[in-house]
Amino acid sequence: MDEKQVLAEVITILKPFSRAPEALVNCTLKTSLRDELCINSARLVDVVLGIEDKFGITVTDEQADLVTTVGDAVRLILESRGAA
Amino acid sequence: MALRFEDAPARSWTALSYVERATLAVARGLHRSPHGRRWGFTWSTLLVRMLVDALSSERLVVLGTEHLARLPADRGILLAPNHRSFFDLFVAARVAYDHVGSCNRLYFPVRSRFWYDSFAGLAVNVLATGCSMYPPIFRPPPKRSVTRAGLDFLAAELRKPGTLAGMHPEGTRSRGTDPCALLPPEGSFGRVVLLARPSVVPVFVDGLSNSLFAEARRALAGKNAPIRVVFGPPLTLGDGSAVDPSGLRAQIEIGRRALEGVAELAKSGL
Repeated sequence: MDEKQVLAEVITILKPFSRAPEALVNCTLKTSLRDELCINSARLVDVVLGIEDKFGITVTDEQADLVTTVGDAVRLILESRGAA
Repeated sequence: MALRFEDAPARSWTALSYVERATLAVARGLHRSPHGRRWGFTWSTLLVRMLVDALSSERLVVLGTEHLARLPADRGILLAPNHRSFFDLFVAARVAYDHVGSCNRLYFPVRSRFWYDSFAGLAVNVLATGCSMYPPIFRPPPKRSVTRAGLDFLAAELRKPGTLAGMHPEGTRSRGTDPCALLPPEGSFGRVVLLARPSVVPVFVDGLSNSLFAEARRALAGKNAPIRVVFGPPLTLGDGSAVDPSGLRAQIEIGRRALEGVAELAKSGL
């Protein structure tokens, strides 16, 4: 899976948790999960668990803390899959 | 692996404000010193007990204390109440204190806002609770390594007999009108449980407001404004040696189980 494919999957995971669905339309790697997609910390946990399920990776609390943008999520997935 | 304050990355320390670093240093100093710990515990048990008793003893409807009396004495106790009021942890701990046998350390982790980002917050914490509102939970991601170090300190304390702590699995306060509606769990609670393997006691608390003045007024109403405190059986944690305490899914699962226990108590307590 390349970065574009992972990004598309991440956007699909984010959809049910974003309170700003219009921001998802023009979503880039720099889009902030909290400020632009309006995903609060409790929902962010669900996003990370959704990523674990979809990509078959395990995320620690420390790694989850570093996920603040869509690009951070994509990078985490690519790195975790690369390390597996 | 447990994280010590000394090992938290420099970027997390520099993310803290000057005031946050100063207040945390004072609180750490108090909790590291045997005299400070002893003073804090004595002060908090005296004052919190006096205050809670004055405001609530006539109003308390307590169920399930038999579960507290049966807890093993070889580890600490972590109360896991629902979170609707600023005072629910203190009331639950006050009631539990009389039923758990030996107790010589009290901890109530608290969000850093006000309590650790202002000297006024620290003063209230020290004077009103003997600094038992410790460790602080810093929410912004750059500061979370310091939060984790605090949680891991709490876990180390909970491995010792005689520690009584209270922590909300929900992490934040529920503001809805339904007292039985619970928010989703956060990871911090699960991290502490997975690291320490304490006796985890679900608690349902209902009938408290967020105002000390309102509570004083209600105290005058006596039994017409009851406070329900229902303790449940401790969670069965199993061996858990194969579970990574830093795994987010495992942490959330522990929080979910504690909240399921609280939800059961809510049904029985109303």
